[in-house]
Amino acid sequence: MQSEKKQITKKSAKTLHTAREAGYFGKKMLENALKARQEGKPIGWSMVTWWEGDLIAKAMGMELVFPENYGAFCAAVRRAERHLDISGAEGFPSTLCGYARNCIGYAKLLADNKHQVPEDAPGGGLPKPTLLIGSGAACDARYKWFQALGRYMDVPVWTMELPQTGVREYYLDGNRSQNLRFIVRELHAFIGFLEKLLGKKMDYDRLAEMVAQTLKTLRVAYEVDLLRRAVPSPMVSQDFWSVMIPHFYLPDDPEAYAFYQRVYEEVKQKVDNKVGAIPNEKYRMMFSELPPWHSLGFFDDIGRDFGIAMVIESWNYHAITPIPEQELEGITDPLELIARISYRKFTEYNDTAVKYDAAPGFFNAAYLRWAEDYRADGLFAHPLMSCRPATYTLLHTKNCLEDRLKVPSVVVEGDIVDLRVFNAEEAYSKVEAFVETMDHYRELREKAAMAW
Amino acid sequence: MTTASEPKGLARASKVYRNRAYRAREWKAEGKKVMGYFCCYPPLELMTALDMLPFRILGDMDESISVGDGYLPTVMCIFYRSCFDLGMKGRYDFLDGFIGAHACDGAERTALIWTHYIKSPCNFHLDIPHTSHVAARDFFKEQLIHLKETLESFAGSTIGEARLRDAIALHNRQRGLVRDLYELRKPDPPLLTGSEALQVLIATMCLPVQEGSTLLEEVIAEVKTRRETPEKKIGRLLIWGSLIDNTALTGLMEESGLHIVVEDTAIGVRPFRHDIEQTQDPLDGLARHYLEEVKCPRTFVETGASYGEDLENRFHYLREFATHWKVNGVYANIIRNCDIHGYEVPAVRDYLEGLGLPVLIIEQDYSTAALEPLRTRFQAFAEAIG
Amino acid sequence: MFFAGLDIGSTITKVVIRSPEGIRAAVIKPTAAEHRRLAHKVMQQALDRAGLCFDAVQYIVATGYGRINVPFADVQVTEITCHMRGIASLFPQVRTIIDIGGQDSKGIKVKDGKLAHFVMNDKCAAGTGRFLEIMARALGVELERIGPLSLQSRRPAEVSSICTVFAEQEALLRLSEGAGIEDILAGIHRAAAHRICSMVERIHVDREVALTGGGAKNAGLRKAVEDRLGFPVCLAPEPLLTGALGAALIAEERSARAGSRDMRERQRRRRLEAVTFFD
Repeated sequence: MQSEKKQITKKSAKTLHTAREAGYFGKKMLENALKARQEGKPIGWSMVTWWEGDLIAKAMGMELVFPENYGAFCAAVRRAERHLDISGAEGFPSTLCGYARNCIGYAKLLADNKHQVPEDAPGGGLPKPTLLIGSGAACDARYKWFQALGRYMDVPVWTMELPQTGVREYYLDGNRSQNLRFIVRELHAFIGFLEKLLGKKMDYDRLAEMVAQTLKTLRVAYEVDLLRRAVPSPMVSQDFWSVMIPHFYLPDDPEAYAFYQRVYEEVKQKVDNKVGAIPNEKYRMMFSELPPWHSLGFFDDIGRDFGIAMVIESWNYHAITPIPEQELEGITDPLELIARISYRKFTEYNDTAVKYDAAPGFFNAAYLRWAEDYRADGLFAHPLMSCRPATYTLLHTKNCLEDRLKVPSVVVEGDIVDLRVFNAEEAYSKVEAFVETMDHYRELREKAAMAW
Repeated sequence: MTTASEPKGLARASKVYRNRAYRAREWKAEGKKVMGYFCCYPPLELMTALDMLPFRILGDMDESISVGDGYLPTVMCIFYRSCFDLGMKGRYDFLDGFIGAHACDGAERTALIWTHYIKSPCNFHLDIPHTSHVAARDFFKEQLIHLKETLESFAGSTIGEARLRDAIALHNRQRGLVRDLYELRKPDPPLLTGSEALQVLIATMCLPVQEGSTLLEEVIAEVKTRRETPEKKIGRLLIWGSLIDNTALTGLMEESGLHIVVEDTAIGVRPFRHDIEQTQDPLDGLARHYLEEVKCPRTFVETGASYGEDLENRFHYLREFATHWKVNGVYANIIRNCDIHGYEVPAVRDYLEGLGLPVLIIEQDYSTAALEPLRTRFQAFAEAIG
Repeated sequence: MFFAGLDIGSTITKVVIRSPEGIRAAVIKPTAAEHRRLAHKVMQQALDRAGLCFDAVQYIVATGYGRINVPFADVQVTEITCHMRGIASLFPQVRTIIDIGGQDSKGIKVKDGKLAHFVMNDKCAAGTGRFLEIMARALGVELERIGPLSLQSRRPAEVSSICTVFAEQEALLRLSEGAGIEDILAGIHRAAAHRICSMVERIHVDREVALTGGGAKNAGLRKAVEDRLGFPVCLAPEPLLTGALGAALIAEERSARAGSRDMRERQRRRRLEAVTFFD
């Protein structure tokens, strides 16, 4: 039998209708950016800030583009290499974040072209921004990278502060409220900075509206997450990775909210009729952390061939679990609400971390909780060569899942910009062998009278 | 307690450098506590005030990482992987407490998982803001109060203001002595080598503060009265970047025709450059010093109006060092996968070359087994300076 | 007066004996494992060829990977500085030197005849002679033929440059897809050139550029580098000798700087012998 030509780019068919429509929001973001450029609106390059920075910047009339996404895009269309070469030639170590190096290389080309977007820029390029919004959350690259861009453009950088308190420390008397107070003060400082930069005042009413809408959108996205606990799973990761765009980037957009209501309806229907996303669900797997965007079809293959349903994934992309009512009581100030939303993201699984004595709460503990909630048979651990935050705690999560919950992991390497690192054939073989491991651990859990 | 038979000065520094836990174990045998900590941010004064020995957790370039590979990925900072590897191998089993810190990603993630696998009676994770905005300073002070309370609870006593002021004075005195030691590296040739200085500094990080200060006094006196004139070499280097904690590397540089006269690293001037101000509330002085005066690229400096201004804001103190220590070359030491220093490389190079200083940049693998290939680079750099 | 430079490379040992008038003799021999400690034998060969006795040589500089195995050398200087000096003497207009050796590759910047910046890759096979050796073997072509054969390509195949392992896989894949051997070889040379030039670009490529080392003798690699740079490169008559030549030139300089008493003392102590463990 002739072996098939190895394909690097392989799209997923997805299982939800709404997932197939979600591409609309990605396009909308691009169109908004183009429109903003044409209208002369200020444009900001922003890191993902888990809603901490983007709502404020957008409320002040700034349009945001996300160089992290641009990196994924350039990689997918095989046009990152030139940028990476330039970044290397400039002296940046090749071990740095792949998205950062892609952006740095692009920024040099932009600078060389008198800050006009080069004609041959992949995907229409990124325009020179008015502001660079870095973030201290999740990893160091996310503020150091933007600081390094100062070499190529005289654009101010604002670093969003988001405390990452330890698990034990989260519960210390007063620490939580001090953390929140710190965030709120920083948000005030950010607004003051923006007002000076843009020469206009913050419209707090508009901001309050956006925050209220955000909470609603995130709530529905969360409700969808809850529905996915059903057996068989009504929705898989391949769907999520499309569906996530609106709540992650546009939660303040009423269209996003309407979209999630339709997602909810579609998923609920499946749950009510006990229809699985894949026809013969035999195994339920989790995925951590950043997917191989160019090869999501791989998960269709293992679904089809082994009955593996990817039931939950990528903690960092998910909507927050709801903030307890008592913590929101009487809070109307939009900055106080934003602080609580973003802080919630990084602390929501601290109780699980305490239960298993397994810090950190972020990137890690979610999977310990989800193993139980989603009745997971295994974890697909995807360490990345040039993305450390997605990789730092993977082995630790693997250890904790195995030791405490008798859930095994399969490790398959990849990279965010060098797509050759992910070898689909090898990955397939690993998963094939892993099925037996999952069977074995299922027996172990049974013997230990565990719930799944 | 040092006895008459105990070595003094450089010999003592060498002894402690080679067997770093020996004094800590004696301390424990006396019924006192030893607190391990990461990096330059957990305030030593808080530990000293409670009669605890602050013990700087470091890696080991001579030990290949084996156990650690089952817990931390190879794409991360090798130094912190080494620290964890040593911890798992029991090298830090004498610690009564572990104080992790969000100095950088490597430190933070390692610190957070450390306590799951390596148990100590007392643990604290010190979160550190990324900027020195006003709100960040206040927040950091609040964090220090939580640390203080955790330590007090463990010690079973409180740190009164007087004791804290005493501790600050003691550590400031030690900082002053380290600066005096650095003065001895200004002459040409410097009165002590980079390797000797490294042993002394690491020794102070393994000793109670007063013993560390006594050691510094002994070394300063010894070095000032040395009879042999060291060989004069071409290069006078400033080392900038990731820390160096092994004399195999400094020795290699010195064998290649280079003097090491000053280090802007976490085991160089960074913890010692500035004294804590005695403020009305001593914790204000502590917070200010540790967040703003320990100069490391992990703390974001607000962008200047232009790139040039930005460089000046971030690196101006390097010019001071280069001038006063008559530096004629800079070695930018990057431990592989270090993001904090990795992102700085082109900027710091621009700044230093702007001062007319040649810069040698090496990403190294934090392993003595991988040092020999670096010899050619250091030698060529010396040849380029000469 | 005569001066000698010995360049003990990981694969090839080179000796140049010269006087202020020019090169008197040169020897190029493989550095097999057992030859690593036999620098004195190659030196003797060079002396024989030059018709000189050992004491006629005033000053000796050793360079290269095995420079510590030359106990009779007066001083060791890195191959970086030596290549720079050698090329600078042949091509004063050169500002960037690309040295492609058997086990490593280097980029060297020259400013006013002095060493400015340099960058080295001695960790990874990609971009060194070793890479080409591995590929030649994988494709079943003699090493000496890969360069000329690659020049016959009309359509170079796409071969990864990130890693020798990946590149080997890809080359064989292209072969199975029916690509011509000359196209694959051209692709391989381009991959090597990409890797090497990326490294050198870190110290900025300024014209004129010289190519040196064993890799410079590969016409296919030369072309790939020139294509990548977009302009022709300078080539020494014998690229393998530039390090030893530079070493000999430095020997002349050092000799002029050294005092006569120091020189006499050196010559008295010098023996043309093998290195021992006790040196």
